[in-house]
Amino acid sequence: MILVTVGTEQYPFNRLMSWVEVLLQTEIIQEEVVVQYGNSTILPAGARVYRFLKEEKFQELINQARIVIAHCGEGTLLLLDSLDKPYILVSRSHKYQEHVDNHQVELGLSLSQINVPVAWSPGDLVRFIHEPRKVSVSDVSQATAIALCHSLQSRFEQTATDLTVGVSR
Amino acid sequence: MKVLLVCSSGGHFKGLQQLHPFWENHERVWVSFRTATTESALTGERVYWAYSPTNRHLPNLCRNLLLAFQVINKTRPDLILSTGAGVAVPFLIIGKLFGSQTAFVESVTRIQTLSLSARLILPFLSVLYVQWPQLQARYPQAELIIPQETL
Repeated sequence: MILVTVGTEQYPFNRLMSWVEVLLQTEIIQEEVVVQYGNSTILPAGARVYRFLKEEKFQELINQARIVIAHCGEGTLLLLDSLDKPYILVSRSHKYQEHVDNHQVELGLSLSQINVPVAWSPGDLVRFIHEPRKVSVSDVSQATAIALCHSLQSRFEQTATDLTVGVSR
Repeated sequence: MKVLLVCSSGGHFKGLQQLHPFWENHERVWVSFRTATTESALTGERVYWAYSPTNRHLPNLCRNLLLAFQVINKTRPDLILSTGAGVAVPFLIIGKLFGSQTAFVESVTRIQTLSLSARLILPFLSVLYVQWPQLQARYPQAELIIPQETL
């Protein structure tokens, strides 16, 4: 089973919905497809669709899935990256009014550089579907969280102490 | 130190949760959107639910502005920490005016450009953290977070 998810973003992601529909119609995808389509207004014919999913159901579907196709959102990325499941990301583009701006495209480009699978066309999806691979960015984000905590501690806990003795920085 | 943690649901919430080694040592109050995930993750925490959506949504900005005023006036946090997005704007501005320290962590998904939220609140921040060198190059006042090896 292939799970397609576009998060809870208020913008549609009809381009990805169309790609999935084409791959189903041409029978390039022959396995079951489950789609969480959010605020998309086109739904891929032939797929099992949900608008939004409860956390539990979402986890259950990810566990069942062979691979996941997802939009390039931070939450989705952090979640998928923490799991042992091959995933490929598709960036929402500002040009097609799929997000407020183009940050998902920028993120997709950067992630491509560190070999995280990102699809820029239906062809990229087809290649991935036939040969899924898993590349992790989670070590980086975990390390980032640690660095952030250190900085917050030294910056603000120190300041708070100083303020109590009346020293301003 | 009393910390006010403000974020929307989804990835921003996950990002703020990841900073638990910092906030778990402090008295804290949360502001987020009510979803199945946030509700279960914040069981037992002190939480105020904000109004969503906030993307270019004027009525909800007004509601959140009022909420920010009430929450900050009541809790008087020493530090307001946010991982975004729009919901953070009224809280950080009002917080700064009320004398709180303010910190904003720009999302890892921002590489070339700051989010609208970050650009709006930039003058009201004690610190802006960014996660990519390209972004820090454009906003030299931001602090670049360089991932460290696990200690």
